[in-house]
Amino acid sequence: MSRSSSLVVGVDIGNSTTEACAALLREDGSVEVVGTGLAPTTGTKGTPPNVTGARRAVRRALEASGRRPEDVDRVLVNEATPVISGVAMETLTETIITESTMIGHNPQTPGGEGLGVGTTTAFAELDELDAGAEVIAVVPHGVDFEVAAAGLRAAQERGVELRGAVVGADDARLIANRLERPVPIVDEVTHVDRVPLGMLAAVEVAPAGRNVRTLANSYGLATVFGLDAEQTKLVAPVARALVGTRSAVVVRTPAGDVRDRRIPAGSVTFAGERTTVRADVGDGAAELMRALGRVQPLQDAVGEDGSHVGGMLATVRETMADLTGEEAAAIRIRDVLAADTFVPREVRGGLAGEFALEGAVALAAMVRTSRGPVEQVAAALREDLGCAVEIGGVEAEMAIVGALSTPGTSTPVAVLDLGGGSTDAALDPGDGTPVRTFHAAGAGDLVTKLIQSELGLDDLEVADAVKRSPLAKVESLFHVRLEDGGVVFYDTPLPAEAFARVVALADDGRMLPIHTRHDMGRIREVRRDAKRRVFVVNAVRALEQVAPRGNVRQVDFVVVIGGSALDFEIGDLVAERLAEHGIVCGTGNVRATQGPRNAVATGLVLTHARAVAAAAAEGQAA
Amino acid sequence: MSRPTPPAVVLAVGADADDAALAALRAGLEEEGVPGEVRPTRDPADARTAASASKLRLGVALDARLAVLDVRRDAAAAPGPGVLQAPADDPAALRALGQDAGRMAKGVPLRRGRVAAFHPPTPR
Repeated sequence: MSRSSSLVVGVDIGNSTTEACAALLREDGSVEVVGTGLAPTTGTKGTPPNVTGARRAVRRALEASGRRPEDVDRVLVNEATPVISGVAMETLTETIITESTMIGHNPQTPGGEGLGVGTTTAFAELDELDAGAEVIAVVPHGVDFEVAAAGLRAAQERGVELRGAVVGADDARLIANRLERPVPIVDEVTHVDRVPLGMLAAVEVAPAGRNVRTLANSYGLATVFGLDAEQTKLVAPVARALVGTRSAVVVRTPAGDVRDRRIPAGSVTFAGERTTVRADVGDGAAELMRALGRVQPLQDAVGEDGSHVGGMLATVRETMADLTGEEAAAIRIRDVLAADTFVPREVRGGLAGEFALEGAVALAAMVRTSRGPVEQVAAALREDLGCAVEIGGVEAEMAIVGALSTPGTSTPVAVLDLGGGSTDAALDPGDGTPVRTFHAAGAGDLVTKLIQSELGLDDLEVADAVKRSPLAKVESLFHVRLEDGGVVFYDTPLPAEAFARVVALADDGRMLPIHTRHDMGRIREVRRDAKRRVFVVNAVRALEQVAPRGNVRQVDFVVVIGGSALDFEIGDLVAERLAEHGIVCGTGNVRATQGPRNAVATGLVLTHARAVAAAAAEGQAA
Repeated sequence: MSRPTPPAVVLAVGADADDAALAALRAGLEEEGVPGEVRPTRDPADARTAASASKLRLGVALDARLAVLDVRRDAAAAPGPGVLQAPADDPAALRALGQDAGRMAKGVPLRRGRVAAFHPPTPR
């Protein structure tokens, strides 16, 4: 290689991705980018295990131009603000059924119709009943529907007043169809063996397309069970829990009860430079963010001892202490993002695997420490690559230099870096005054977490796919309807198991079935709303912190970069919100070719090139 | 002139098919509330012809060995094994097949297990 040029590689180690930009620097200061590379970050950002990922990214950047790692003259890494973020979900309410008083679920095919009230009786004991007894039959798993129907019919013929039935298997309609006088039947009751026997109970099945009326109404329950005013107060939560279901069973037990319990979630104390404000997690996300807003810039946040939130913030602090070797007590939490959410949880004490939507608050917390780890990474990388490795600049400043290579941009410019762990803003006022930065807790990882919990997905990979991809519904084995209304047809059938399911259309062309009861519209709404609650809220918050006098309108250009800017809608959601302020906001296109990627790595190379050119000019002048 | 027939899943049943197997299939359809129409057939392996005769575009063929569910397709479509199958000596599987045929008619997800990510065929 000619000595008139040197090979320099900028390396940006992010929370989830490490990017590299390899360039030839000529003596005249001109820069020729020869390749870019990308690799997943290995280890926690800012720690020596990053070297593996950095090496891969460098190698990939060089491969494009056929150069080898030995040819590299200099590697530039960024001084990252060591931010790590923790995400936690706090459930605020819990629904508990004591003594199995209620079954409120939606079997797809209940049998019969109407309301029946009687005493719960085991199927095997129906023979022993006298004529005139009013009963609700309880049919356990393993009883064939023909046998069950014959038994119920025989009881009816003997004069037993059969009012309804509760069945373990998915047989309700088959049994109802075989009765001369059909009764309401609720089936698919997982824990049918736990239904208390010898108690007064009511079974209600609404006509198709309707919901239960009597059992979802407190006074309906009072009428059915002959309750006084005090007792009616106690069953009100039962009625509330049954709203919206097509079938239900309520058993009146002496001490049975459904309770909405509020869990003490603890409080957070936000310490600013002058004031300290405390907010109760139970009051919701808006209240927490208002309290935080009053103390900005935040110096530290502490959760109440012994509470969930206290534990969560302490964990973030300890993880960061391990990382940096600093005392946990010296770690400061510099930003918190709270978002209201809900978590579908199986109801404690339920008989049919009922779910209740429990209120919850999701928190992302971000920690900052003094520098240190980047030096360790640089040293490890120096040893690994055997070339000069230096810290080429501060991440935020490099991001601005890189983002400004987007066509059509100019200062004053703000760069919004939408990442996995944090949402960062940097403002270059363009008048020579220093770049202002803010790191907001909460980004892509929190969005995934919100989607996972709100849709009740057990698989984080599916939640991630829902976040990244548009949806479609498999309407027949030969066509899918896309979320925008478009339709795609196929000549060969799709897998039967995917029939009528909503699927995420992954980038690699695969379809990922989403196993949830929610329809496509609802899933889309959850996805977009999660992105708004994290990225739109954080974009505005971060810009307010860096904008002159906190006025976002003073910023002319906002360039959105970072991994999450590649998302198919986040950039639009942010731009839509910022348009209200009359700002030019768009997704960056680094060096007119890289899209929102590679800004920091590019910035490192360009900054170094300018320094070399300036030094050369000085040398000539001297 | 024949009277118009109501929509139903057509069950093409061979002479050698077991009564209990047919009953299990029909129980599955009944629990879903979807009508099934039994048609004795000489060529029970052909679920596709049954599907072509069904106003619900769904056919099940049953013989002594196997039950096969298929959906109506273009006349030009390549022959295939149907979309779902169940052995004729497994009442639970037959019941599930009948139920899944009913669910397919109703446009709701099937009972059977989950499917992992898959590559769709090439769009038309």
